[in-house]
Parts: sequence; C-alpha cells; structure tokens
Amino acid sequence: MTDIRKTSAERKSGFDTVLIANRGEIALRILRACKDLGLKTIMVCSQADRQASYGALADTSLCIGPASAGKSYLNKDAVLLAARLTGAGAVHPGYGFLSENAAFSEAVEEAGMVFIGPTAQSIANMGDKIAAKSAMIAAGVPCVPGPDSELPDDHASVEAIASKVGYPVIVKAAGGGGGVACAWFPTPASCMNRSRSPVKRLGRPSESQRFTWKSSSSTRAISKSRYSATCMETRSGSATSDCSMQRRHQKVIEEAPAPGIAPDIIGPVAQACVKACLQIGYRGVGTFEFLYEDGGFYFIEMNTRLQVEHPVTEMTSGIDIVQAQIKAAQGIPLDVDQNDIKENGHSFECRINAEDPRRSSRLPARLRR
Amino acid sequence: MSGVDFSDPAVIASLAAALEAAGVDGIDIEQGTHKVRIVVERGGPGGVSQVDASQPAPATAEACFVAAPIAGFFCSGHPASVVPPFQLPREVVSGDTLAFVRIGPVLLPVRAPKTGVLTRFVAENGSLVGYGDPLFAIEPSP
Repeated sequence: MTDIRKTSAERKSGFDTVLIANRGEIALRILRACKDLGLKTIMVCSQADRQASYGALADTSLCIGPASAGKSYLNKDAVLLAARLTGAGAVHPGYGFLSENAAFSEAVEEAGMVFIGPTAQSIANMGDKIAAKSAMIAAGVPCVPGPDSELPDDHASVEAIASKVGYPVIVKAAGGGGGVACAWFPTPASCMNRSRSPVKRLGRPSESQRFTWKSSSSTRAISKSRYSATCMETRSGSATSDCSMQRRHQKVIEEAPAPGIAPDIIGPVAQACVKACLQIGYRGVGTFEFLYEDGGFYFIEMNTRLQVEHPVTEMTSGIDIVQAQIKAAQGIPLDVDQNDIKENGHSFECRINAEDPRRSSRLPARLRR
Repeated sequence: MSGVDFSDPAVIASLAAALEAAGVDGIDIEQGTHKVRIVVERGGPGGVSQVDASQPAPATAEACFVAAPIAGFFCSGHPASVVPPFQLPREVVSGDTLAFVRIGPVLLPVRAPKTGVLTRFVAENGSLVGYGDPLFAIEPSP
C-alpha cells in the first residue's frame, strides 16, 4: 500500500510514473508520449468519462469524482489524492483545467512530486498580464504599445490614456487569458463607460485590474510555441505558428509556420523569447503570443502550458514537444538549440465548432464519422 | 479559509495528512454553520473524519450496489478491530457502518444506504478503488 503520509518539499526530477490530470485528446496524447519514453501512466477521470476507451490504455485508471469538472478535473485535492494513492512521481496537467494553476503546481511539488510544467512563481507572474508585460520589457521582448500599468478607475483618465495610445485600443482584464476577457474599442464613443466590461466577462470581481494596448483592424495574432529545458538548462528553442483566424476570440485555424513573414523578421523575436525565458527562469513548455503588424511583433501574453495547437509546430519542426516537456521535467537536457530548429513544410489545425447555423449560437452535438 | 469545501473528503484527507506530517494531534475548524473536527490517532490506523460517507444507491427492487464516496483503499472492516469479520449474508440497517475507505491516516466510513441483507463484497479488501466504484451489494430482506 502506498504511504500517503510521505511528504517532501524537495523536488525530485527522476520519476517513472506520470499521473495524467486531464481528459480526451490531450490525455491520450500525453499517454502516448509517456509510453514512448517508457514511463508508466495513471489516468484519472470523472464519473462522466468512466467508460472512455482511452482509460484502458493506461497502466492504472482511477475515477476521482462526479461528472462536474469542478468536482473532478478541477479539484486540486482530488487529483493530488489520486497521485498520492497511486504513487505517481509526476503530474502532467495537459492544457486547460489545472494546467495554469499556480497553487496546484506548488501543491504537487510540496507533496514531493514533479509538476510537468513551470514553477508556481512563473505561472503566477505570467498569469498577471501587467507583470508579464513588465518582465518582457525588461528582457527586451517587443511589447504592444500602451502603458504597462493598471488602468485608473475613472473613465476620463481611461479615455485620456486610450487617446494617447491611439484608437483603436483593446482593454484587457489583467487576470484573463486568451481573448475571452478583452474588449476592442475602435473609437472614443465605443469606449464610453464600457472599459470595465472585460473584468465583468472574466467573472472574478476581486480581480479588477485592467490594462490597455493599441490595436488595429488588420492585426494578426501570431503564437509562438517555445520549448526549453529546466532552469538548469541553458539551451532552448522556439518555432512559430499563426492563429489569426478566430471566432468568439478563440482560434479556429492555426498554421505553421506563420505565412508571409520573412525569417529575418522572426529570428530576432525568437531569440528574444529564448532570452526572456532564461531571464525569468522559465522551465518547460510555454507559448508567447504576439500581435503582428507592418513588420513588427508585439508581445501580448505568455501561456505557461502546452498549447492546444502544439501539433502544428510538431509537424513542421519534427520535434515531439510533449516528450521534450516530459524530459525537461526529468532534468534531461534538451538536445536541440535555437539554431537546430528548421521548419519543413506547412501544417494546419482546425477547430470544429458545433453551432446552430440559423442562430449562430453554440450547439453541443455528438460528432459522428 | 473561506472557499474551502470541507464536505469534500479529499480536502479532509489532505488536511489529515498535513496534520500527521506536522505531528499535530487534531484540529477543529469552523466555517459559517459548519464545523469539522479531525483527530489523528497516534499508533493507530488514523482519525475518522466527520464526513458522512453514505451515498445514494440506485433505487431498484433487486440488489443495490453501494459506491465508494472517494478514491482510496477499501477496508471491509476496521483495521484496528479485534472482532473477527462478520459472515455473509448479514442483515443490515440503514446507517450501519459496513466498511471503510482508507486514505492514509483517514478512515472514511461507508454506511448502509438502506435496510436489507449485505450479500457480498464487490471490492477486494485492501484494493484501490475509485470514486463511484461499487463496494458491496445489499439486497432486500426476504
């Protein structure tokens, strides 16, 4: 019987068993990478996924809670309990759920296991978009124009800042990821008394910080997938992809490499990302997101997890990013550096949204072959 | 401590593990109208949480399977009990403690959700069970 009372604040990089704290496609993807690396796997699931076919592929499968994600995949204590009960040496959070939860990363490591992802400090720093922008400016990464500080509460001051930045502007909740908690204002009239709307969309009233940046109707969003090793490692690499095609602020098509942008424009930005990661002591896989316009890149945020669309980068770079991430967590030095990364061919990944075509509203549906 | 769900057995297990690691004998926690007491028994099998582990069972006229309320190791009897295991089948009354799920120092009682006859254990003693896994069957009294 596993001794659940064993606790250790010391991080151990060597492990032979990985608990996969996710479901569906990414759970299977991590399982495949673990098997290729000769690691044992533990799959946790909610009551809703008890019969999922991929569960049987893991060495151990354990149901940790009811169907509701809040009581299973998002329940830090339940996931940690499963890891302790099964003697897992590491926890891979996948993407979504607990992957960018600093408290969970910390709890896993305090329990003497390895969190396959960045430190709690990195997650917290990059989760605060104002702090992240400050860190990137310090590292020499080109950032989107706009003040790198919190917006004031009164509208007149917000409008003065927006006018100085130059319309159109985007206002974003400091604690919000992706495009969900941001609003685009093309003119002063559109911004009138609505600059707090991103905070309302975020749904966390206690996190009321917002900031603004300059936007453009023709701006492209370029995501920058990056892979590096642990903080002891000095080599790292990055490759680009494009995620301009979006619907409801979510990517619909991701392609790699970013089309129509010359390598000599991308190169210095890639090097700046590598430098930033080393400077902030980042470990594992992360994604820098930029806006691109007229030959210039502008950092907007960093995702401190495996990107959903990581396969487009894998297809063109030939690098198994999930395996690289796991090996980095094991303390194995990355075997490529920036100069080794060559992109061959072109790849696309598409998101399929189930929607009612007449009303253009979401319509959950079962996908059949 | 606001926002902590003390009705979640995983939270209790996590707290109990922390108490034992810190060498603390027990703790009382009050949150609103709820009160939780966790006692760590030294040299014994561990404290028993205040969480009610009984789960609603499928309403059928035939046998109902009682499911694990949390992931843990199944104990068909109290590990410290000197009383020999009871023989099956056995008449049980709703609310009787019939087995436990063990999580480190925590023993979570699993109670009979209804009166009937405990006919068989589905889970093996000492095996790892997941949330919702069937543990034992209760059939209607003849």
